[in-house]
Amino acid sequence: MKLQNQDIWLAYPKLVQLSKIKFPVKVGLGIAKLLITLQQPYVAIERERIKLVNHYGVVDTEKKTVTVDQSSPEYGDYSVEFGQLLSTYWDDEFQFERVKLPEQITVTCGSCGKKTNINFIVDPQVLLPLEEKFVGLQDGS
Amino acid sequence: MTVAEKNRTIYSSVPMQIFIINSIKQPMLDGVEVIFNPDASKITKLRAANQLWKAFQAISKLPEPTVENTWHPNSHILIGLRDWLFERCFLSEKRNGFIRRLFNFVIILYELDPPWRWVIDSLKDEAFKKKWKLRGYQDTWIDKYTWWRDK
Repeated sequence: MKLQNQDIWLAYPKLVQLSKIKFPVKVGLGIAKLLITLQQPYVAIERERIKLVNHYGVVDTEKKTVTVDQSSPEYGDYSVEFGQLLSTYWDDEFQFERVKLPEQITVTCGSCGKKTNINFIVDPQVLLPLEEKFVGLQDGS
Repeated sequence: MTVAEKNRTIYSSVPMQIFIINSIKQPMLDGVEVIFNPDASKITKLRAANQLWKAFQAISKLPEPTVENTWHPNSHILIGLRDWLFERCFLSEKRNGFIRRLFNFVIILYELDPPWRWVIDSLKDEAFKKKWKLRGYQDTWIDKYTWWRDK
């Protein structure tokens, strides 16, 4: 499957967030495989983004950060170049399976140690960049 | 490639969306609102004019729409119309530059913003239902239009 850099750049941090949740082994393994697949392209894209920030941004010596201010004249050039970077397709084809997330996960009660199934609650913002290509639900949707 | 994937161009990338909304669309909406408000003070209007100027400058940062960086078939027609126009229209460099920027912005709006696309398409459809007069209708100056050269 071909992926646009934007797919990778948006999905990877969300997959990292998902990877912090304890899932059944099959789901966890699926997420781990996705992370491994996307890690190297993500790092390369992020490296390019940082180059652009360093080029167009301004150094804040107090906070020790470099930022491209939205009101600066350079912001337009930064957005265009970054947009070009994100709208480019990654050269290689990707092979991965969509991870089927469970509707419920098993958790252990902190006080009594009893295991119970609870609805898996996740922020929609996490799923937004993932739902098209990377994750689905175990009921088939 | 799915339809959703095909529609992804530089204009729909996250940084460009943020730039277009924050640096162009919103300041334009806010600026026009103030400038045409009879109750707004002169200073507020001056600030709004400055805001509009910055938004207009930001438009020139946008990459020019081409067949390669757009997806909608009608955007491609608009791009063709833009090129057709500038093969015939020889106004001053400044005026042509202004028209070109404006035209490009309309193409970009059409390309990436479905409600704007809907508005433009509706106006086009409605105009063709009316008895739209041919160019030069009751215009006695047309033989002096040296800036226009039909091929």
